[in-house]
Amino acid sequence: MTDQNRKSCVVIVPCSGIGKTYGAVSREAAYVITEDLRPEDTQLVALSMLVLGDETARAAVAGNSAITIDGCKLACASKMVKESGGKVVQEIAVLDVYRRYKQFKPQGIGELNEGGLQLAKALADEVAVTIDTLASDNKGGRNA
Amino acid sequence: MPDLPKKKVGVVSCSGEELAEGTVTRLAALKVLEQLRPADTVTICLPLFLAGGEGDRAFARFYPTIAVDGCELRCAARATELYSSKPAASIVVRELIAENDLGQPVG
Repeated sequence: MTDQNRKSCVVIVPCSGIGKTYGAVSREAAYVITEDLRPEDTQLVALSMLVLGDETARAAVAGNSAITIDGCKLACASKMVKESGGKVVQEIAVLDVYRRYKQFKPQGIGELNEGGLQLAKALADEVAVTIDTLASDNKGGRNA
Repeated sequence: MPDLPKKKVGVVSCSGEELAEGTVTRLAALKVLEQLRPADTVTICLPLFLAGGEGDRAFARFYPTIAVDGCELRCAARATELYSSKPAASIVVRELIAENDLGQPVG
């Protein structure tokens, strides 16, 4: 497959911060999006590889729209994608999502509790809507 | 005698999202931190470390670190050496799997 033929996708970059529950939620949400909800339309990029300058990771970010999911206000994922020349179409902070779904009480880091998994799923559902909107816009653009 | 800060060991896991081995590094680091050596270790957040977290970088300059990587790219070890100092020890999950004839992790 050539680059021209390769279908464009949305790059998902979670912070994956260790030591914080919200980092674990960001990581889990990214898996739900890329493995369950929109596997055909998304690509997971490891933040550590991106920041260390891995060519494949940087190319993926440079050539596609990106959605970042950060576990804390330092917003490492969002910052790094932008510094790598990526176009961030949606920046998500797990805390903001939690404020909308306070019924889910996330706990755990290595293993999230049920509330954490539910929060990750809720976050992933929101991202899926964004992905669908982007896909719809792209189709509209091609047909125009 | 002055109350000197206790010497701790920093565990830097790659946490690579794309590989099951990356998840293994994350879980292993947390197990050390929470169960095996809670009094002697801290974890360092690799993305923050790379993104310019001065506190994390300074810690790794003056305290010993153990890099735990999932694959041969060794992002954690390279980043620690690049931004602070060479890790005191470096572990690669794929090498452990081969050396101990373990099954391939999935998930």
